[in-house]
Amino acid sequence: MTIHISNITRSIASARVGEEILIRIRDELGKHDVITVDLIDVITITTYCAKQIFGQLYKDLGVSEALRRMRMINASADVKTAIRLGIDASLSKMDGY
Amino acid sequence: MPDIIIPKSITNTKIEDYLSSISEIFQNTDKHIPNIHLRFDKVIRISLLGQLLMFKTLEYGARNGCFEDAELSMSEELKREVKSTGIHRLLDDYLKGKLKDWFGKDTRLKHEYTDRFFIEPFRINRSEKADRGLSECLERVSDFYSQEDITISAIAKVLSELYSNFWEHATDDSGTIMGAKGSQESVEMVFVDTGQGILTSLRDVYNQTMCTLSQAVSKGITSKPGTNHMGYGLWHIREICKANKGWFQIFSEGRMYTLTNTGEAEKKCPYWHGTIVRVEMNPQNMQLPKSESVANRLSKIRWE
Repeated sequence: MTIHISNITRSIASARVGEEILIRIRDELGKHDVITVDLIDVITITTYCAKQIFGQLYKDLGVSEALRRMRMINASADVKTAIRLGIDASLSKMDGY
Repeated sequence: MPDIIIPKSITNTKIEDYLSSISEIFQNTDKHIPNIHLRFDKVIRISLLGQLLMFKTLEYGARNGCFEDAELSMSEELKREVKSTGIHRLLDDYLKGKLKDWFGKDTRLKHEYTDRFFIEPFRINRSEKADRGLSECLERVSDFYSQEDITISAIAKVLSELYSNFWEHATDDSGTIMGAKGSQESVEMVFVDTGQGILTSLRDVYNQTMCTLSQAVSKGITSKPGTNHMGYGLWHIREICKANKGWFQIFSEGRMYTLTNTGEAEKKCPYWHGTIVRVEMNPQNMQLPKSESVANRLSKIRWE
């Protein structure tokens, strides 16, 4: 199962849009063991939204499960950086991280 | 009360002069001063930022009871400039239809240049319309700088992080207004609001010692700790501007921060109730700041 983020938006910049994407990914994770998040044509993601979406997902699933169940493809260098920062910030206060 | 006389230039190097000329407006909240004459009739030059400031000044004054039935005079040059950006439509909200006599038919001037782009000023508030505005803005940037992926990423990062910051503080219907324009030589992005102001927001969290804009653009400083705000947005913009020898200016609550290709500085300046941000960069051969190193555990993310 592949979620094409650019079909929702190419600029992930507001909490409203971030919430929409988070709900969508959670829905698909509820139906499929492994999903692909395709970030092709996504121009940018704010650090806020990166934490809101991917930070929360990694928190929900735990690092090992998130790494196993979510495959991320076609992200630009800048989008990758923001997502990494968002995940790291979300997990940084968790025990064992 | 004397006339409020606006200087002849409201350009990027004359912002302090403009702020000085209108500062008394902020002191008259709910005083409903009668018979004020707002004299923009001497203005012969105005930048995009100047137009946003003009609009937000008038809107703040009207919405906050600073004056009652104020008269507004505008020079012909100013009317032409205001009409060319489309901001007269926002001004009309304040003047309740009076502008139609000044600008004639409400026909939008078409920006048909192929060597530049222009984003007509629009409001940032908690609406889908605002989100669409940003999306359209980024599409225009992407189309104009096509083939230049790093340029697009850098500009999009600045626009989106600023949008996100101002969106978070858009707690009323007035909201921030933003605009942008660009060419192969320069890209400029401007945001103006009359909200709480950066320093007040930070003091609420960090106590009275947090009183500079330089601290506000530092990594990890956020007015909303414990949320999805990480305090990286303004810092990241600063890093992008440094990497590309760009300009990054912030005016808020009597302080002014400036980053240029020669360094950073902060000083006192005339008061503005809210926050003003301007970023300008050369879009040629842009670079992104070096990537942050993050926890090694995240190196296993499957990027393909």
